[in-house]
Amino acid sequence: MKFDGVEVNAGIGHQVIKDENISIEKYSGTINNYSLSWQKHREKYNWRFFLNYRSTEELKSYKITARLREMNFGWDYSYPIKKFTLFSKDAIWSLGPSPFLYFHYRRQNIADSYFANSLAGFISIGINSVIKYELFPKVIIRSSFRSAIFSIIGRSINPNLYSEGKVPIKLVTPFSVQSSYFETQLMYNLYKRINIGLLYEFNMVRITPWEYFISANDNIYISILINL
Amino acid sequence: MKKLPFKIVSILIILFCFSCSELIINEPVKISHLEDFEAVRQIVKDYYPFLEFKQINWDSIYNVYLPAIEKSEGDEYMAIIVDMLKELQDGHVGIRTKGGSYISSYIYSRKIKDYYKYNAQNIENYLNADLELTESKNISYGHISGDLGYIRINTFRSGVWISEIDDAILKFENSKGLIIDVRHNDGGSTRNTNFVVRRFLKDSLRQAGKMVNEEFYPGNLLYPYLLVNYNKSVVVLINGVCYSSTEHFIQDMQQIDNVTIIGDTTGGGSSAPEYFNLPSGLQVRVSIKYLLKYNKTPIEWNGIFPDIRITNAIQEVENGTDKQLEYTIDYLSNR
Repeated sequence: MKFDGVEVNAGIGHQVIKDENISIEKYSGTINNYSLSWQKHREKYNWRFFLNYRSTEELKSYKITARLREMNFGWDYSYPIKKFTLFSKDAIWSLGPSPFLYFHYRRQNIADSYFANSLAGFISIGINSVIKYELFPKVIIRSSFRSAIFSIIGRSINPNLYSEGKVPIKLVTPFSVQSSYFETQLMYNLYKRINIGLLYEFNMVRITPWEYFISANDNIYISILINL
Repeated sequence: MKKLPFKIVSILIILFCFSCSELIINEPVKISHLEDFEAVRQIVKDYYPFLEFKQINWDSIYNVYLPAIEKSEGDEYMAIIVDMLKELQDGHVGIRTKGGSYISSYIYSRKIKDYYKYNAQNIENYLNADLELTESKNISYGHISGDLGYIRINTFRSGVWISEIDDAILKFENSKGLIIDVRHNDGGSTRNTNFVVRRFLKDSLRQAGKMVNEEFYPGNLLYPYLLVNYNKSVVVLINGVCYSSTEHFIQDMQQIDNVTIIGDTTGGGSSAPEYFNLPSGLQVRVSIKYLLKYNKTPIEWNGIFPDIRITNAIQEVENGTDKQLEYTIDYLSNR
């Protein structure tokens, strides 16, 4: 079953965030997700350009609401490391580098027409790992994991508390910025060049320099992949 | 019977799928925000200089908001503090989050009135060429037919960028008259306003003073800057969005003989605000100085009146015209 082409995903999810730039409170709510990727899977390598966009106006903590926009953009490149069988079906494990970019914006509505903003973003170099498991000739399960290793981070901060300007930029290690991504997708070859699927995705970003920030979301997508 | 386990498994999978994020991020520790509220009450009581002038009974306002703060949960306390501060009707007052996001508690009424009565893009309709921008982009300038110069100052925020004004003034040193447009400039640093005023002074100027504990203190003495000094006719264009240190600039310029102030009354806020820390890590910004006009009435709420009052209408501005600027061009051309 081929995986070469453009994949479009749309879904909903559950977002939780704690961003001490604004307060220590936990905000949660439903989130809309869209993603687009262009991918190639060969015997000796796989790659995938991806763009994810998440947005919601419905994050809530008691009566206070918040708007959130998040975006990921990057490139997963992986080499097949091991072929193995699982329950007498073929599976392939691939591993490789992933440069990617993350951007986060949140607007918390404090009072009528007054709000507080928080911005965070980073460019990371990380690793990705993919397991492809052929359940049936027309059904494939694909699980992938991505994690940041080194990142250059920018964050809106209070210039009166820190001497680094309003949006400082810093090179950080996995101890201070963690970005982890996991997905499992069930893909079915519907018709010649068209695959459809169901995808579960989990994202987590944690930033500790300056004010503590953690954002996590669980998402379910419906996917359509057109083999080119 | 066979369908039941499948349904249960499906529900469990869905629940699992939507609970990872909830499990990873813990609920915050519940804290009372009464301490923040009490701190705001005390800071305003100790430092806010206009309670008497505005006839505000601060203790009664505190008592009105106290039940709401006691019942509040999560970040609701922030909204209640902002609402309470709104009672001061002061555009300098607000709160700031740990991350530096400032939430103003009040939009002054003249700002609302004049906000859509000015459009900087309309200025180019009256110029001989496009406006030129300085490096900081805070100052723009251009020539108006009739040998007039036009300089717009967007802000007086602190920084050494203000020295760019010298080049702009020197461009028009041989002009017949100069327009300094500070409409929609809502303030910044008085150091920067003084920097500009000195370029127009002929003699030293004793600035308007302030009241401290009902005692009058005279202002600073400002000296002319002779290396760059414009001595022809000058008009300063103002409107209701002008606020804070911009109002100090306007009233200082108003004391100079060859300067005329045209436009509409300024916003009325002049009180040198300061940030105070609250126990939760929030900061509250409160005005702390009772600054005066030259006639010893407060700038707060009153604003600075123009010498010639000309107002723009929203419809005219939308059509690309600027009546205040048109009047000013006529005024300077006929002098």
